[in-house]
Amino acid sequence: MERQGTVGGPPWPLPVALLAAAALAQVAGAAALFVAAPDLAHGIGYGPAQLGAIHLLGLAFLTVAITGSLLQLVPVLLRQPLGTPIRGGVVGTALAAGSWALALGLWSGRSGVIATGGTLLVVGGAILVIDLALTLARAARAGTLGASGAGIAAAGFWFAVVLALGALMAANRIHPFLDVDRTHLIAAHAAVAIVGWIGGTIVSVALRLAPMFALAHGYRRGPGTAALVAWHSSVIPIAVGLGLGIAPVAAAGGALLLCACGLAGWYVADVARHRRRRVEAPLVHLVLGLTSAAAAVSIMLAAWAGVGNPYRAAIPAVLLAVVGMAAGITSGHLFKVVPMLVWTGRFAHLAGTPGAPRLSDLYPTALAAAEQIAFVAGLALLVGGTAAGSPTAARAGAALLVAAALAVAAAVATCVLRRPGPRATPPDHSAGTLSASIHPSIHTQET
Amino acid sequence: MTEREAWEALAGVVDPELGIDIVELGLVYAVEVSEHAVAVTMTLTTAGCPLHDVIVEGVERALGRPGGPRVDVEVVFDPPWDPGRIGMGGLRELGAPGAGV
Repeated sequence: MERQGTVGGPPWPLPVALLAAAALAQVAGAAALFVAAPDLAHGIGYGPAQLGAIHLLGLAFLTVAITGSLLQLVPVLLRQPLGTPIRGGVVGTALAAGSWALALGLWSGRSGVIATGGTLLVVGGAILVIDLALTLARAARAGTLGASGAGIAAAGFWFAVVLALGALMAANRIHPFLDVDRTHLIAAHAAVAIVGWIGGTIVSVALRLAPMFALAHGYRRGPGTAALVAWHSSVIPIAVGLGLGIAPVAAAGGALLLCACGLAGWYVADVARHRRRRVEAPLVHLVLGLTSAAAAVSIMLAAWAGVGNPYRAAIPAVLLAVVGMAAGITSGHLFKVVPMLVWTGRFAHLAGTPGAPRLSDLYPTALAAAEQIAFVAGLALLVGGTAAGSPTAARAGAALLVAAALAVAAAVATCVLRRPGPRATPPDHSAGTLSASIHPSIHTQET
Repeated sequence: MTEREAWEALAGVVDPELGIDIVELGLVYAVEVSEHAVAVTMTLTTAGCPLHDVIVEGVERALGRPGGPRVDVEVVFDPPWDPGRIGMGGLRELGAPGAGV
């Protein structure tokens, strides 16, 4: 007997399918980075392979993964369903297919493919934004919005802006009609996408999940809320500054974003200090991701202050933001979210019976460890190689990131395909658990 | 069913995400056994726990007997749960800092 992932959530195969598709797209995006690495190291940030890589990572991996996650997490966080399972399937399919088409169209320069991809993205994105708005409105009326809901609302707004800007740019590429500096427009589009939509959503959800996954209590919540406010507040000055080519405005937004990273780091450190379980992939990648985001902002602030060329500095900064922050945090959470979805769908009906499989039976510990090592080394080499102008180091880094992405995809596949049998013996945590449970008055927590 | 048997049965209900039984986790606040019903007052680690239904159904499954007393499970969040309620064995299994090997 299989069941839905959670109360009000869609049937579990839907979000899992989207997350699996996203994981495969991450492999493709990392492979595209491998192709683009030499150009990136030579300071060429704009080209067919670079466009393909950023859109495979940003859309086919991150946006599809976020969509799959939102379908599952919004009911948990806001206690309201997000759309319907059928609409969720339509949205996921349109976004996934549109992402691949757009990325491949931009790489190959084929207008028809670009147009097809853009259309699918707009259709899927519009349905998602509308469903998100309706759900958030219901949550607000029910009083279940909270800080996470407000963060998701802001991120949804940015997604709508990204789609609109992207559609304009795609249309302009086919039939030029915009009389604006294309570089500035691309920069503004990238800023809203990376900082607002992707970063805003990921950070909102990750900060909410961190204490749950770490089993942390007694931590200070204020810094986490302040971090989200600062994060989303930074998007407009960054985008406007980049779009109009006014560096001080962009720098002011960057400073605000750096504050957000610091506040989020403070919050995560407090959560980690109050944790009651060993550190797992989501927390590791969250720390790495916030560090990457702070490093990206710092690089750009330094460039605007006169240390290096801003256009040259933008390459390692974007890599840190997209790969280090966004892809890294998302990958880390896939190691936790996918097993939880699969277990709830397949084995929840065995809960309470002797020998029921546990989530840890689906959690790929070895793959998670291998992925973290490959990811950290790969990111360091890729970013360092592009900053130092070393194509060899950049390519080596991209190759390691391909390996890390393959580990994530393998972990998802293993989780879906593995069918653990019943446990042979009941759980034993020693320390007289059973006698204490029989006599609750002498249970350890009572003494 | 005696109260002892009820607690033993509850010790077999494992939080699937944490891998620790709900008694060791300190989630069970009270168990009352009468001729017609077994009443469990319990909590969860967080109010928004995504495994809420799974754990509650696990409790019902563990205590249910054909022809036996009705199982009533009440989930409360006052007093709120905190990790201080976890037994030392559970903390060690979770790898909590300071719990030792």
